[in-house]
Amino acid sequence: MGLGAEEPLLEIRNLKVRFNTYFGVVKAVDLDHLKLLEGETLGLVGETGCGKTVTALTVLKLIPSPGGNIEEGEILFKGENLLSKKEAEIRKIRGKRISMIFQDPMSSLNPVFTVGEQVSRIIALHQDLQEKEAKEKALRIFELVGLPSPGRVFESYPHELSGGMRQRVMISMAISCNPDLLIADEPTSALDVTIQAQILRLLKDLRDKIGASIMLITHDLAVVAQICEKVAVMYAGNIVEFGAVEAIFSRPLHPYTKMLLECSPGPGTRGRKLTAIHGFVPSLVNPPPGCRFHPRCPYVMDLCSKSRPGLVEFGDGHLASCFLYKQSGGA
Amino acid sequence: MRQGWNVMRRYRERVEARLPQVREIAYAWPVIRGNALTMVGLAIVLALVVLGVLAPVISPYPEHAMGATASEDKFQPPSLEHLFGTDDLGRDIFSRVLFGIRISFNIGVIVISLALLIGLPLGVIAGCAGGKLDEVIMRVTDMFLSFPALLLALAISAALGPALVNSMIAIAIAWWPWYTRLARGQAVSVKERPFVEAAVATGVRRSRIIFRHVLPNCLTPIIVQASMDFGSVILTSASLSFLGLGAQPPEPEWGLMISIGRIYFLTNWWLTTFPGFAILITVLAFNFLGDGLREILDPRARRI
Repeated sequence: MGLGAEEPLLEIRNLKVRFNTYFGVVKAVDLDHLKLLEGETLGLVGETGCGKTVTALTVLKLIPSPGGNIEEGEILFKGENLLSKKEAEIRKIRGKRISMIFQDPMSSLNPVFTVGEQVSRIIALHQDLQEKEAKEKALRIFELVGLPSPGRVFESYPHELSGGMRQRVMISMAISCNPDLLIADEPTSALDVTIQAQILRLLKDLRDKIGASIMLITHDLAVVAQICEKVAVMYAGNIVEFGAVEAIFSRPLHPYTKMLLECSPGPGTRGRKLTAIHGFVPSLVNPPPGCRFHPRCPYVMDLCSKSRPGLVEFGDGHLASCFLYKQSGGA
Repeated sequence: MRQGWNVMRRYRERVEARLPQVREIAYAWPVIRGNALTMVGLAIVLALVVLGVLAPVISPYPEHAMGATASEDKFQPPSLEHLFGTDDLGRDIFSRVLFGIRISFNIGVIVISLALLIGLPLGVIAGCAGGKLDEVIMRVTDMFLSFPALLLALAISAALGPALVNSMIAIAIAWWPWYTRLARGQAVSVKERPFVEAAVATGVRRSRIIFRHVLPNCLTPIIVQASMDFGSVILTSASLSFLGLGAQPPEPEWGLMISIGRIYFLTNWWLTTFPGFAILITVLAFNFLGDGLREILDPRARRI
């Protein structure tokens, strides 16, 4: 996959997103660098509130406009800066070239229209098709995502479908226009475990069938290990580590990644108590100076509270932002 | 037979899903049935509709509603011949009250539709847009709301000139701000629901989001308000006609009939009393019905 794909499909550079709230300015995202190659699946992991979803919403310029504020940065999609595009231009990209699967399929479908109507309308909207052709296409996609008896589902209203079926409908909406990039924001967290596995398998299949890149947002490391090739670990709005799945899981560099891995149960942790990361996620109104993880880090040094470590490469595209490796590591 | 039943059920499901409010009412049928006042209101409204539709058939002197007079029979007290008696021109009051139902219901439907037509889109737009546009729309709305509805309608219809159509326009102009406020409040909360965000993320145009995604999901409290207002609108319109600003003779409008009969009230009580009762019963019935609907559709206001 991704042979000779030096040109990244999506590249985020130096992104700063702020929210004005009653309590002050929340520095939600401070992202140095993130890239996604063509045909690749990237897992964006981190705790609740670390900026994963905000990053994804920023790509589609869906940050709520009074209050939310993209202070600076560039989001390059096939070399074009999305952030400098006008609303009308970005609307042609939304749903067509970049589409999004939302977390909660229960409330992400409009209750007053049939799902068929909702899906075929998007197809008609972006592909200039007649109603009839759009319907045929929608039915084919329903089949592709494994919905049983597509004809009947087409005529159904959201409340008549189960959670898993609704998520399949959401997925068919997202892939209906053959997007280049599919952003899946915790697509499985509102579903029960058996359905989760089915949906993940479906996403994996679809990636191979339609050749889209996927940005998968999740807090579940097991999900990442199953379907992603690259992982970006976020903490308090920063990317702390980025690299291939195998590298991150076998040789985590950043203390946060290490501790996160130790937190999740696996065959190796049988009979042992799971470790916890002490302390809390810091408030992003007043984030700790320097490395944002330093108050909770067991390897903390003087330097950590004084300046912020940049992302440094440790070979094979494995990046981490930590002072521990400054001396021994590469570049 | 069975096939037909299935088709019917399918059709009902379809309507119910398109308008979630219908489903809520269907689910709430036991609640409605249990609530005596709502049932009374519903029964009276239905009876009035039937009477109004059948007015040309039931009324003994349909021509008396159209302007014919029979001066030789004037001021007959209620009797079997003339159930509600006759007025100063010898017209059968029973027939005229029956035809009055048609006028009153027409006024209710037309005025409320007009008010919804103006108020609903404005409110939903204000709620979705926010910012300056919201501010402008709502301040204009407040300006209208700062006058009592009856006074504003009175002033407008006086300016437009006395006629039934003008009084309907005047009431609609006095009425829409209520729906705007209500719709805005709903829109503000509906627009934050995930399916709206999902629609934005699929590149749907803003106008389409407002009218196809937000608006249908805002309707519940507006339906309740509209059904409650039906009675008030009829009352307001009767008041305008009473003051000579609405319907003009010889139309069998209740307010107008009371106004004409007022001079003879001490000697011939039936001229004013029966149209007055008609207004009373109609307004009361709609209030009962509206209260019941609110109890079902708006659980927060539900009394326990």
